Amino acid sequence: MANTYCTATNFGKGFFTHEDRNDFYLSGHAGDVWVVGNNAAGVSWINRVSGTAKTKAEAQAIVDGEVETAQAAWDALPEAEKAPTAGFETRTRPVKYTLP
Amino acid sequence: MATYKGIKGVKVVTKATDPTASEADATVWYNSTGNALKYSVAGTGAWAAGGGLNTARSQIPTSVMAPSSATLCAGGSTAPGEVAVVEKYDGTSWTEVNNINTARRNAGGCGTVNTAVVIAGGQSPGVTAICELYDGTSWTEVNNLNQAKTSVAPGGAGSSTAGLLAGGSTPSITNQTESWDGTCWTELNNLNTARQAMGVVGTQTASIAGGGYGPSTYAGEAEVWDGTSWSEVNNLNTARGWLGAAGTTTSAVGFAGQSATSTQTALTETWDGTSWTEVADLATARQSIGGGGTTQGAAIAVGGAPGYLSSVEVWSDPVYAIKTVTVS
Repeated sequence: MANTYCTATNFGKGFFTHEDRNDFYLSGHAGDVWVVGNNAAGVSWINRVSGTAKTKAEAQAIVDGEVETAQAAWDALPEAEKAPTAGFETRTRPVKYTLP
Repeated sequence: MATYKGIKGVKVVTKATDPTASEADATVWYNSTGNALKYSVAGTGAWAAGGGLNTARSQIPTSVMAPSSATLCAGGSTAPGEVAVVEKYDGTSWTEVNNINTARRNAGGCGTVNTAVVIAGGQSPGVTAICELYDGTSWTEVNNLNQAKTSVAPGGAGSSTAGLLAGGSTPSITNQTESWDGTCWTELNNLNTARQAMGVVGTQTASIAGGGYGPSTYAGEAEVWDGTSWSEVNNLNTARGWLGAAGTTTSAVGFAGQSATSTQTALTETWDGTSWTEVADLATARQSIGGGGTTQGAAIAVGGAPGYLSSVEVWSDPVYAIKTVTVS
């Protein structure tokens, strides 16, 4: 298995270091979900940040839930705010995606 | 048998404690406390977590000329709208300081942490030409930009007394360039390609602008400013807008952004004066960030979208690491 999964709260500086990033794969997602390279350094990092281990399905469910919440917030916006506005960045309805 | 002294001309030094990895780059020493032979190497660039913003937000102007360890984040947007909140970063954490007078998003910023200009920006109730000067304590409104515009680079090039602002949206996408002399704005030669939301770094007389969003598509174009005119150089590998940038006209880094295929990206590209190379990703994909830094090797990515992020990442290139020689 190339990756492992956890939830952990980003407490700021020191949460992950430059050395960590060179030692294992790491990507952050909604719901404080982190995808972590499955090697000794990655496992050590999860322990260091008091991460809670999740299966991929559990992690995916958390991210999906966050996306659904964001979708509901988007759907509740007035239509004028959802329409593309010339000169401003595209804000689109959030979409679900598959964690690596 | 080759010896360390024979190769390096010096003996392996004995130290009770390890030096910092950057100080010890490319050297070997014996740690007498841990009884270990150690060495330091310069590894590839990487992003680390920085201190989180107190107010989560996106579309943030920052002081691009400030180092990543001492920068300023002024305004931006958060639910339910544009904010005037200003925070200063000391390399570890953010402290809220006096607000800008006019809340706005997608403004530009020149200068350093204590001498900065926030330029134009805004979307609702409208695009502004308002500029404000920071003296380290408070904000004072100064002369307006000649043309109201928004979605300029999160950090404009130059200082609070010699700044440069290129592109943006009026809300029609523009190729205008204006320079700031500390008192007023003057129009200069236009960009070759009209764009908004580029990454721009450098000084008033030597800067590079890359990426952005053209009238109907994301831009990969990069242009270099020589103090008089813009010249096209090699494109970014991934066309995108609302990205951050740091460095100089000959050595820069562009990061994050929104592309045709990703609402937000984690991509990082370095510029060596000739071409762009994709390097290590941010941990969190984001766009509409605040971002800046004085060198290619030390950048900061602040907040951004999706939603309104408070997280911050700090780029270092190279990343020094201390290793232990293992003998089996």
